[in-house]
Amino acid sequence: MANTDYVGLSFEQVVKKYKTTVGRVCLVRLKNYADAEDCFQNVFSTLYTKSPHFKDEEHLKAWLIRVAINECKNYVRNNRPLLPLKDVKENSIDFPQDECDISWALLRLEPKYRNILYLYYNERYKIDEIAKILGKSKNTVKSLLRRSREKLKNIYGGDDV
Amino acid sequence: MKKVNFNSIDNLEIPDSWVDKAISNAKTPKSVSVIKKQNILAFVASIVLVCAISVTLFFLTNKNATMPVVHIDATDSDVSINNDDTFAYEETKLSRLPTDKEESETSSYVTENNSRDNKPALYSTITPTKKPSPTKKPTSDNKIEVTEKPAPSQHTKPESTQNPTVAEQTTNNETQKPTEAEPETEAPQKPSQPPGPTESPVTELPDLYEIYIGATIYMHLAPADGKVYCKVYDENGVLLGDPDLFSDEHIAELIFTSYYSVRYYPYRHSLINATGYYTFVFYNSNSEILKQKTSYLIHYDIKEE
Repeated sequence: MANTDYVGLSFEQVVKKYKTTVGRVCLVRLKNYADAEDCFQNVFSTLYTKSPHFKDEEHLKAWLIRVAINECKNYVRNNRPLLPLKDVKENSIDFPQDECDISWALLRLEPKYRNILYLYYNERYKIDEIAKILGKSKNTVKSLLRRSREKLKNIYGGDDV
Repeated sequence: MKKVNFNSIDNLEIPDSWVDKAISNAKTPKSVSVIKKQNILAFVASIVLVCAISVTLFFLTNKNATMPVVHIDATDSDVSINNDDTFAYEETKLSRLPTDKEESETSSYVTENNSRDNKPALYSTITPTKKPSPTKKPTSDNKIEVTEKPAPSQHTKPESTQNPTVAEQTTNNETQKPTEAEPETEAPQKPSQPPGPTESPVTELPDLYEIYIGATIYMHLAPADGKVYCKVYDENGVLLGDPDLFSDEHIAELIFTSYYSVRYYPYRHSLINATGYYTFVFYNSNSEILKQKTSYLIHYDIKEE
């Protein structure tokens, strides 16, 4: 059955420790609390049922982020909700257009750019770490990061980001 | 240089209820069994689907295969059934036409002298080899194929000769056929046409027809990155498909001729299931609205080849 030990942590401890990381990845990707919650549940149920072996906590965290991104992709692919516009607006995350905080601009980018920027600026991952998590080469991540900055600049309309 | 941050994302709080649910859901075996059930259902459904497809294909291919069988049977029935308008009979009549033609072309007396005396001689001569008509053209090939079919009818003749009177009567009946068929012999060479299927009713489509399946907008300048996205809303303002604009199903097709045209085909993503008015909103990759358009779409089950 399921492994109860994840790098010295119990399942409950893992969920509590990484709830913010996984939850934010899902929210940034799906921009919707209800959908993000579903993916959040799926990520941890996958962890419980698969119970893979992890080298260390960083490995565990990277695995959770990778699974969360995949879950979100699958969720979007499999669930094509026909929601009225009102409901979408009510459930979606809406940030004020702050001068300094450009989270609202981040959410207007394409998902692949959103992931890169989130992992780089919010989770403070390095480029090679992001490359490992996303299963891409360093150069790809670098170019994605550069392009996402440019796009963010266009959306934000600022001089430098 | 402005200093920007993503603090709002960092401030997003994850509700504790998510944690409780995640722990309880993961530990309940239901989640696993549901997945298994879905897999089993999908497996069974796929097997049923494959069986259904194979059965329909089997019957379809069999239908095609039975066509020549019908053709052969029809030649046998030709002897006894004279005025039948069935496809098989027509076909056999057509196959016999060249011989009648030959009669009418080579000598007029054959049609005139449809008397009893000529009948046996006529039938004895209606063999592919015994009628070397010098006037005959490429249709002789057809003749050879065709005259092989009446072989059974020729076999019936010797039987009928056991009783000469009966034989005469039967030949009378049969010789009426060519005379009845004379108007048809005057018709242009039908044997050269493929039989049967050409006469079956076929639903004809015009050579050119259009199905209105999407929306097109025109622009003088293309977007910098060449990407345009489109969201479709139905009459009630309900968004069709993924709420995320940058999903694959919202990508529109950019075409350059003398100007830029952007086309979006929602049927490719199975977004449109009913006829009605739909609103298309085109965006660039910065989520800015380029154009908005309302179109009346007719729903078809379209299969791309």
